[in-house]
Amino acid sequence: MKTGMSPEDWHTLQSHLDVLLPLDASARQQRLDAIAAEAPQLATTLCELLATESRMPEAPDVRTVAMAFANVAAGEVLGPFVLDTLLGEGGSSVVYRAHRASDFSQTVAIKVLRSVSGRQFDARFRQERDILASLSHPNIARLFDGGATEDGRPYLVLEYVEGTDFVTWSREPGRSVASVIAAMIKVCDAVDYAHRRLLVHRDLKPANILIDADGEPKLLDFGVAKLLESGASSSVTQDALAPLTPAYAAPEQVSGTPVTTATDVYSLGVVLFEALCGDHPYRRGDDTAAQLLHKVSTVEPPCPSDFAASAPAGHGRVLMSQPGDLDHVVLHAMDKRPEARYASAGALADDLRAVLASQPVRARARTWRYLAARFAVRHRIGVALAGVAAMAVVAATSVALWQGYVASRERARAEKRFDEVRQLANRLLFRYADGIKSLAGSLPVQRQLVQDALGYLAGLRAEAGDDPALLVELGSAYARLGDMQGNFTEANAGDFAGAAQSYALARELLNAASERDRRPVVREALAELSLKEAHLAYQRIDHPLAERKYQESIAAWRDVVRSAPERADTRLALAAALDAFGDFLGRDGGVGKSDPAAALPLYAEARGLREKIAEVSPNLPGLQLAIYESELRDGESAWAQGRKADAVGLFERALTRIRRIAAAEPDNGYRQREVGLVLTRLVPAYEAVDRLDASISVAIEAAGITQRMLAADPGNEAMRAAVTSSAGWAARQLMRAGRFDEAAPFVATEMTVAKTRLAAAPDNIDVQATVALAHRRAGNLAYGRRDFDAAIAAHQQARAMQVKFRGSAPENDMAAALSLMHAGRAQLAAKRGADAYRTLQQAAAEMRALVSTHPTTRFKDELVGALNLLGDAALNTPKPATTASAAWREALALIDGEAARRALAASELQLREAIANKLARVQG
Amino acid sequence: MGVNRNVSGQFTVALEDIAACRRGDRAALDRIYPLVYEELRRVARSHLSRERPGHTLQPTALVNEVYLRLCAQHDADWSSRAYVFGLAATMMRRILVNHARDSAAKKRGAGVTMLTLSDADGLAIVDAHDSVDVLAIHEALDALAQLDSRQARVVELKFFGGLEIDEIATLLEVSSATVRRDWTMAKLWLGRELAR
Repeated sequence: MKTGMSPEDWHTLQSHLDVLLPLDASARQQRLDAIAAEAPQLATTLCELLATESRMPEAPDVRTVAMAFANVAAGEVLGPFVLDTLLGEGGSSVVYRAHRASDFSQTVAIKVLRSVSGRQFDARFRQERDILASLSHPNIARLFDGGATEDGRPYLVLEYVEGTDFVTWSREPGRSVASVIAAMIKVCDAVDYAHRRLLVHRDLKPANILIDADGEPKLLDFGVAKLLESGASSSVTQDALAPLTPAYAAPEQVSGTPVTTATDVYSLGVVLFEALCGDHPYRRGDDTAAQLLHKVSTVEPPCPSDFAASAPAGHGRVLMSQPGDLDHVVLHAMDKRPEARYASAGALADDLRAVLASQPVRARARTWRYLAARFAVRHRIGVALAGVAAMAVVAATSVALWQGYVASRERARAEKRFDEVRQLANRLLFRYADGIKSLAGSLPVQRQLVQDALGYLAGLRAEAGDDPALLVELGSAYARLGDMQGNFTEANAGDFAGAAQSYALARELLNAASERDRRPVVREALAELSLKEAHLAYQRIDHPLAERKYQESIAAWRDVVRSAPERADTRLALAAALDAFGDFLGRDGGVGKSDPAAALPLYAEARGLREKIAEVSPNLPGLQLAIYESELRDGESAWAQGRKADAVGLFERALTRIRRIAAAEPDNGYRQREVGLVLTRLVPAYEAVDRLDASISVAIEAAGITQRMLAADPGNEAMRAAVTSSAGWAARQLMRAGRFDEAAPFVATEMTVAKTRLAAAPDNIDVQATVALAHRRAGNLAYGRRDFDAAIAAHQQARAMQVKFRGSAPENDMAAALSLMHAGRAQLAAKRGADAYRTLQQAAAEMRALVSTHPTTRFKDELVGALNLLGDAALNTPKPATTASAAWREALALIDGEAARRALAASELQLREAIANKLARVQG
Repeated sequence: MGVNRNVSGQFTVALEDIAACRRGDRAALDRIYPLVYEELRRVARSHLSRERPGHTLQPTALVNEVYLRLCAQHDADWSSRAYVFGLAATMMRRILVNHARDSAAKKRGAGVTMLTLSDADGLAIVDAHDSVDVLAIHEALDALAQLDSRQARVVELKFFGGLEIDEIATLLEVSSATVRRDWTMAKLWLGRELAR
């Protein structure tokens, strides 16, 4: 303690003061003298205490208080924190120093983002925040927490750091090149630590690298740029919108191409340049942001030692004086091409360590291609000189020989690095990204992994040219990226246009590979890609392309299976392709060809393949799931053929199996989704066998499962699609039972999620169809609540959307006709008989045309429904009664036609009886 | 619960929350602390914005007003009142010390960055001309706490919170005479410390 006083000392002093204080001046002096005689030190201290009696003010003066409060920032309360002082303010955020309300000792910095509205503060922000909060490194300022203010602005609670920015610190007296490099090594290691946890800073700059009083660097705002972006948009394809600082941004950030760990390496290079050379490599005082961004993309950085040597007066302190390895290190980090930079911040740190230890650096080696190119240039110069003088020829030749030696020695080294990077990229791609594929909410991380891998592989390709194996890897990486963008059969972002681009790139690369290499691995990759392309074409309702691609994939898989018949995995892949093509051809409710009979032989072949595998290797991983796929399609086929009771039994069997599989993999969102899918298949099946209660309860269960999954994985289009479908079913069934109040929340969910999907893919027909369907649901809810005008309006809105994509798929044509039917029903209820008749007549006509080309059971059912209503409507017009009886007769003929093929359900028999009764009444 | 909005839309603190705080209930503290803080700030700022620099900006006046706004309608007992005053005093100290620190940092020069501001384009700087060296008092008070924590607390309550001797006595559950002696002794000790 600085006073050197102990509590006992102070106690003693006070007992003397108790005596001294009441005394007058002279008595006090006498007493002090007496004490001084025995304890001079004590007397001195007492004198000092008494002499300063009035020095301590009674209260702070008004001016001090006024100033302090003028500077108390918002004084706002954020969660358990209160804001103390405004530290700074900028375009996108405001930073305060704050403390925990109930604990003054915990000081933090709080960044409130003002550019982001609460609506966009989504689960993705929270997820990113949690990843960042897990970063624990002594040289990285912690992110403690984050939340939203009362008015919805997100905020981050960060470690409060006091220090000096890196460049300013480097210019303080006493800094040397070595001390700056040593600090930069720590920075690089910290960045590398974060990179290995899949986090890229994206905004490294001197102000984000503080050096504290002990000389320790602290990195600030790690991942905050990304977080800002995730708060700003739910789309994962907006790297270009990420905040950046022009002076330290990498060229790929300016051009909007994917940001990778190499981006941070670039920014570190710029900071190091500035710290060593006394000025920024290309920023000049009056540059605008736009000029700077232009320079980032176009101006090659100067050689640091040249730049430092020619620095005019007025620059910052110049540390670097000698040309050398450090030049290479800085320029290597600042290469305009991400793939040509250090592969990691750790590699940059290694080279900086080599500089400190005066060992050779890797940067100088660059790559063997680069060296070879430089060699060629020098060689030509040598030859040219040869024409001038013989001496020059000798010199040039010896230089060339030496260069050749260097080139070949470095080649081995470069090739080693090449293999390392390639292994890393493939690990990222196939082991890590695939490993987390089924985890709910992992889409952003998967995407980061694949983009990093792509960056590495693209860099290798630039060096290696057209090595077939590399082309296959690169092609597969693009195919995976496309899956994440928009493969509707797995986790995807609903960005179907982006998926098409990625698949096209993959196709180009794989085709190039297959020209040189016909090994099975290339053929398998092509077979797989064809299937992905087919899925996408199906999703985008391009029937001719989808059909061709499905056939192409099946043919390719057959080819692969033929060449290696002992392999079970390729046979399972063939079975999956057969199923997929069958789904496209015949799946009920899908936007495919609605031709269930055509799917049957495909499904049967897939089932046969799986059964054969089950006989030989019953414990093969994935086999249970494959068998479930066949069981599901058995049910769907029975349903499509009108064997409704069989369908129920088959769906229940598939449900039992998938529930068992899902229970074994509780973290796998896709297994849960599959349970939801079978449940939704059971909804109409139960209804068809007159078990409305069972139908309602499976619909509600399915909606519950899918909504939980979406909550865990909100950016995933596949989950959104599952929710619109299952919530729609739940609403429909509840309304059918007259339980409108229970149906209302499902109607709202369906609409909200459908609109979210539309925002992600505004031009996608399938998604538009989903929104139209949500309008239908809203219309039916209004109808049930006897608000007929609202019902008519909703159905007309649905119809208006649906007519835009009529002709794209039979199911979509039926949907458009159904909207007319629903609108007509509401008009009839609103006692607008003439309107109703016209509308229903149009609906029946459209349905009739569909049934003539696609005579499925369900399409016929819908036509019966429309005709039944048409008859009712006709009676509400001045038309003769024969108009009504014609409609009803047509309906009865359809029902009887079905009855000749299969047993009718009770509900169908009731409907027949009702129509027959009405007909009898009109005729009688 | 515990925090209510009264008819005029103003937040008030429930008596049971104050009682819970005094028993050391951390959750209750987390609830009412921010309210007191915000109120203190609001009161001070309203005085500042009315451009009435004068005695109203004395800690005593501020703390009293905060108390009246938050608790008056309860006719709370003396000890509750003293407790809220105590909270306000701690906050006053914090606010004044933080401000003094920031001013000192700014005076140390441009090389010191308190925290990164990725986009610090409009840093609001209010320069202060502190007549009282709050920072020195704060540091001396910390040193005094090592010798006699109650004396340090008395100074905090009196100097930063403007509490009367009797109020401090209630809060600390000692006699007024003891508080008076603590205040006298502490002033001497601090005076000597500040003179060093």
